[in-house]
Amino acid sequence: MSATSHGAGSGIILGLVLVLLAQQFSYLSLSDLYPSLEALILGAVVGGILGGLIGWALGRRYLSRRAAAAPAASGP
Amino acid sequence: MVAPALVLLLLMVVAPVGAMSGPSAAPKGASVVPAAGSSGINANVTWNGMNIGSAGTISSGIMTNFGSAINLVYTWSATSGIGPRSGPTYNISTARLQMFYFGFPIGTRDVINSNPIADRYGQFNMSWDPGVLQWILTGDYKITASLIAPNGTSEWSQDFFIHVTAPAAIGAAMPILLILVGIWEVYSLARSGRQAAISAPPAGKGKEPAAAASGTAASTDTSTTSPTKSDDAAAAPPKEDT
Repeated sequence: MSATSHGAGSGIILGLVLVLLAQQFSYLSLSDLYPSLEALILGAVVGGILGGLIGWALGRRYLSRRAAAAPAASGP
Repeated sequence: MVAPALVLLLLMVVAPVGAMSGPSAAPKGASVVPAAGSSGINANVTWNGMNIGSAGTISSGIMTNFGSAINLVYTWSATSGIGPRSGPTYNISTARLQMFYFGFPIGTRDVINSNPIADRYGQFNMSWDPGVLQWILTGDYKITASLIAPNGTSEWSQDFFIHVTAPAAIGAAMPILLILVGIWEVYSLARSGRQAAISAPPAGKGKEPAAAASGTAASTDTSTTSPTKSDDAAAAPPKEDT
């Protein structure tokens, strides 16, 4: 599993959690079916995209740091 | 982590279903109610003394908590006719309260009059103890109050909103679990960079697998050409002999 897909998975869950939390804290009503599904799908899509981007960026940063550290570790 | 979290979220959405109790016997104070046509009823319902007509939107929802029993009073009267004894009569057998989540009633509470009599006005008293719901839910919910005839027809209904509060604002299972899942997923997202190291080839050895692959191909080529060499080898001994 790549960093991007891992981040996207976490982002989807976070998007769903935030929608449900918004209802629990009275920022959103989930009483009717279709608006609720729309809110959940929107949260999952936005969360997945943002999570994927964050995961991709973190993955690049992690690899670049690791690549920079590798020559220093193999030096004299 | 994604699959368990999804299962947990699904359970949290489904768990409240059925938490409310079903039909109950009519309390002693419930007056028997009348029947006949439809949509000719004017009703008024109070939630712990507050008129639900003032809670028609989310922002104006009735603040309440499920820690104690809630008293509802349904009062209805026929809208047509002149004077208390004239006009059509109505037969209302049930006062119903339904709480909705994702469009589905997560609970229904009925006060049933098993022997309704047609009349022009009436009243039902309902005492609803949310019970275990106080430990599960907080937030805004839509409630529908309705008056139902013996044949199942809804003679009157009205939607309103309640704002359920929990002890210490989050002292219910749903928000606590959601916060825990959220914290874990933030942690998991922050660690997602390490996944790049797992999926990427080791630093400085990126071309080795390709070289190994070409080596395998070379050995394959060698094996395909080896019969020729063996033929040469087979042909060699006669040359040595000569």
